[in-house]
Order: sequence, then structure tokens, then C-alpha cells
Amino acid sequence: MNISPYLLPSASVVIFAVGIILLSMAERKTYYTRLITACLALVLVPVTFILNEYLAYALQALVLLAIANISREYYKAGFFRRRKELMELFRHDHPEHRDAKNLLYRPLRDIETKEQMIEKKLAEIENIEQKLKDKEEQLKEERRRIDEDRDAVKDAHREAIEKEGMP
Amino acid sequence: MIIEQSVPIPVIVEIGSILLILFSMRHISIARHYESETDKKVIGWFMIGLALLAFGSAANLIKLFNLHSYFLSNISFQVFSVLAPLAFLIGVIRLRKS
Repeated sequence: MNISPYLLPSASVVIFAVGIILLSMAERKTYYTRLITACLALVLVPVTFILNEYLAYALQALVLLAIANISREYYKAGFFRRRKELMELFRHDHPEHRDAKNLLYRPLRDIETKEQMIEKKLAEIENIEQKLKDKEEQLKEERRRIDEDRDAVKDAHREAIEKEGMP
Repeated sequence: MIIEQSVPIPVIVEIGSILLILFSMRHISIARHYESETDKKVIGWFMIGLALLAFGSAANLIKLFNLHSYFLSNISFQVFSVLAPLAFLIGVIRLRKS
């Protein structure tokens, strides 16, 4: 297969031109559009190969260094953006954060609620016990008074019998 | 030119190219996780292009070491050199459509 030495550079130039035109029409300017521009510049290496071999190698090295640098910046920007998003998530009472917090603290909160309920019930039981004790005291007092009254009635009855001389 | 006498400059450039491409691909592959699905596909095409360039550099390197077979010397280098720009072009078109 005999390929013309000018075919590859010509194709590269066409691809580069079309790519740059399309890229200039793209509205978004992000890290990866910079990356795309650098990648398209790499297409020009075969063209410069015709002019000078070492010029082509220099261009290849420079463009690849640029691509590596952009990709590193892109990686760092993504990392920092994610960290910022996480910070925002934890700074404000974001629904996701609230859900996560609920998920984390719900069992603990359930236990705390149950403990509070048990304490409340225990307090109620103590209250009832106290009331029962008071009632018991009251009943004992009542019982004592009734006994005293009965004794008083008995004494009065006995005195009356002694007075009347009846058996 | 001490370097030229011991190790030829093209060999250094090609090895450096492969390493830089691998470095770039690693960082881009991590960074693209934060993009939308459409953008991930666009960046995917550029990663394919970079991978093809790495293969092209490897083929060229083998050629420089005089280990070339017919496939490597006549087809591989040219195919990779054409396919990589085509992948970049597809990426640009996808970016334009997105």
C-alpha cells in the first residue's frame, strides 16, 4: 500500500481547521475545551514533520506538556469543586445532609426517645406509688379514728351500764 | 549535543509523549467523573484520541529502534496518526451537538 507523503499532513490540516471552526462555535469554555484545543494542535505535528523533523518533535513535546498541564488543572479543579460542594452540603442544612444526619443519628435518637419515655413512665409509677402510700396513710388514719370512736362508744356504753347497774 | 550522541532526541520525545499521555489520561479519567453524562462522552472521545496517539508513539518508538515490521512501519503509524485526529474531530462534533 503506497500512501502519498502529503496525504497525512493534508488530512491533518483539514481536521485541524474543521475542529477549530467547530470549537469556536461551541459556547461553553471549560477546562476540557482548552484540552480539545491542545489536542487539535497536536494534529499539526505531521505537517511540521515535513518542514523539519526536530521542529515536529519540539511541537509534539510542547503540546503534550500543555495537555498534561491542562489535565492536571482540570483534575485539581474537579477535586476542589467537589470539596466545595461537600463543604456547602455540610455548612447548610441541605436536604441530603439532613437525610444523612437522620440516617446516622436516628437510631441514637430513637434510643434517647425510648429512654425518655421509660423515665417518664417510671416517674408516673413513682407518683402512683406515692399516691398509694398517701392513700394508705389516709386509710390507716381513718381506721385509727374509727377504732378510737368505737372505743369511745364502747367506753360510753360500759359507763352507762355501770351507771344504770344493768348487766 | 551530548544527548544526541547517547540517546537520540526522537526516542526521548516519544517516550516522554507516552508518559505524558498516560499522565493526562489518568487525570482526565478522574476529573470527568464530576461532569454530566454528555460531557463524559465528549471527553471519552478525546481520551480515545490520546490513547491512539500513545499507540502511534509506541509504534514510532519501535520503528526508531529498528524493530519495525511491515505492519508497524507502514500501516500502524499512519493509521494511528489519522485515527487520533478523527477521534478528536468526533469529540468536537459531539461537543457541538451537546
